[in-house]
Amino acid sequence: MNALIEAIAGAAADWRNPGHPRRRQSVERTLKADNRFTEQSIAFAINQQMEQLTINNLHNWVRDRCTPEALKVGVLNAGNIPMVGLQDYLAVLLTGHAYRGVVSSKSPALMPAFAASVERRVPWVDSEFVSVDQLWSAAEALLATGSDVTADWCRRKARRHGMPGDRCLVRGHRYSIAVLDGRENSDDCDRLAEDVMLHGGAGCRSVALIFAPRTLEPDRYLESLALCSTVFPPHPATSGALAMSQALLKAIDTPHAYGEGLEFLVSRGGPDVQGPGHVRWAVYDELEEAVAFIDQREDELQCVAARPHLHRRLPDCCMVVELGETQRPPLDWHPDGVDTVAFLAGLSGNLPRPEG
Amino acid sequence: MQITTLESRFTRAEEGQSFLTMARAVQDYQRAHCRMYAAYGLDHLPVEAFKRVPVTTFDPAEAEAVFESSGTGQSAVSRHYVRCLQVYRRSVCTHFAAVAGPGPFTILAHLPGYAVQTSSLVCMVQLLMERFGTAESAFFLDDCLPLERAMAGSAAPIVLFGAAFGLLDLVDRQVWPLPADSLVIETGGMKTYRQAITRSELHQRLAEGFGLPTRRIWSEYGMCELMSQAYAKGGGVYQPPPWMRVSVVDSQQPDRVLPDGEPGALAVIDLANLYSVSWLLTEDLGVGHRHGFEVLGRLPASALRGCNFLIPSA
Repeated sequence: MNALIEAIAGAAADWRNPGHPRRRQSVERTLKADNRFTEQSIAFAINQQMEQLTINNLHNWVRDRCTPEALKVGVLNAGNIPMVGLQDYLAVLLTGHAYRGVVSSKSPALMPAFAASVERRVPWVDSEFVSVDQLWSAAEALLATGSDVTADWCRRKARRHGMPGDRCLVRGHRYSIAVLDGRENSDDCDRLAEDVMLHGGAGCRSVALIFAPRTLEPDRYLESLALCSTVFPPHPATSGALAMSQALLKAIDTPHAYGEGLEFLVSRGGPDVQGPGHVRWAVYDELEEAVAFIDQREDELQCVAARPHLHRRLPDCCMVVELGETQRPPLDWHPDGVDTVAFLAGLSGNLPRPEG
Repeated sequence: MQITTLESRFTRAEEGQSFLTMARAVQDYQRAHCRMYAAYGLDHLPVEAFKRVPVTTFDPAEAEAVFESSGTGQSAVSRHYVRCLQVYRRSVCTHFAAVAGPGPFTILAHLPGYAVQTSSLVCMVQLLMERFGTAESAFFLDDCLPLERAMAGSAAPIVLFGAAFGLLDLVDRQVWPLPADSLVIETGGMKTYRQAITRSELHQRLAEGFGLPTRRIWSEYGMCELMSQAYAKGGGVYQPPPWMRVSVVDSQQPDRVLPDGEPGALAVIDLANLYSVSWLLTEDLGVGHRHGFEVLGRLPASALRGCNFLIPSA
């Protein structure tokens, strides 16, 4: 495993350089694919993840949790944000399994290119990108992420291919929320804006709902959103996509605010999740209302972002993070509350592999 | 074109120019009489609007009926104010006769909550019973006597409507061998069942449970926001009536129609929605086929944020 960890860390070191040829070429291909990624959001996603792939971090994450029996693990990668499947790729290989990945047409190039950088260093690593059909004929275990429909489909396909249910880790769709108390400073506002805006609102870690005290004026938070849209300009299609939502809000007299070029849309109302790029500003009279929402929707939430002072007042049932952290998942984070490494290591028992 | 003309002619809409002409005429009327739709300004109105405000071209207090969605959890309820039940009756009955025949039928309905007066589905079945049903037609739930009586000898072919999970519960209890000319029409609700299953698995189990070939297991697609229904006559491809058009669009850019086979949001033009809004964007995920459309599931906004459209077909 040491050689593999060194190879991953080495590949990541190369990829921290935006001019690295393999990174540059895969970014160019990604920008041409049918997605809403921007140059800036791709760069952020790559840099954020590559920074974490150090030898120490990788060791501390996996902690010698390896499988005694290697399986071919099929991975259906979501394509909603750039490099979203990297953690699964690393977890499969570092726990000693073989990787069989399917990339989304929305993000076809980044993961295979990074995998190629790893394989150049450790050619013996058993990793391959395959078609969906090839995955089902090859895979003995499954990691998948998607909508409810996708998740149902994955479970059914797995069952049909004789894959035991306990070898499937199928994650559903989730979203993240922020809870404000009005004491946020300008840095907090900017960090919240990144949580909301960075990937055009896509992805389970993007903040879709903001709980705020009823008396809180949203102006300075909106200013931060506007500022963030200059640092991370949204995809050109975003304004077109938001036009329908804005038209409806206007037609039904719902208070709302939007960026000058419709880069974002914030509406006031009940705590209902809207489409990407459209954030709901839900007010509370007592913080307990937000707490109750979190308790009731635990299974739908990925992260709750709030100032540290609020953390102890929020339920510990889901991942509570600081403002500005939702788009910066640590290497060892648990999507949907499940430790992927533990799942993979436990597929055939959970025996520590001897050092070396 | 006057609204009274449209009201009398909408069931005669045909493919091609006449449908689009009528659709634009209806839209003009609705924009002139529904301030909210006029303010909206775009073509397809998200069905979410029905949860927020009365979507009407008339005073809602004058509605002959109000259809409500069943609603789940804390989600808001959709309300469709129906100005003229006669329009609904014509839409429901004309299309049913076109797909199932002129009747009569012994219409049985296994629909939980059939006492709920605001259910458009219950209203639809009641109208069908009035128009096509024999005296044996009935709603039932736990007491299956109406079904047993019909099986013992019905004067007319049996048409059994039911929510998917309810029908599955029925056939889990025992086999109900229906006469060969019977029809079973499931009205959706598969997600409510213990475990989501595919439509083909559902139909297979219903076919076995009712002793019918799968071609006699149909599906109905409707919702309280629509005055018309589409039927899938065996298999999963629905065909709408001539006065209803369903297209598959990019849910984020509804003016972008997707090619057949590519999943997206179902956008509907239902001319029978004369006095509300005809051009609607549903929250259903579907895929277009040459002769109809398939429904893959729900498309909530939260799913769009993390959605992964890998599925080639249901």
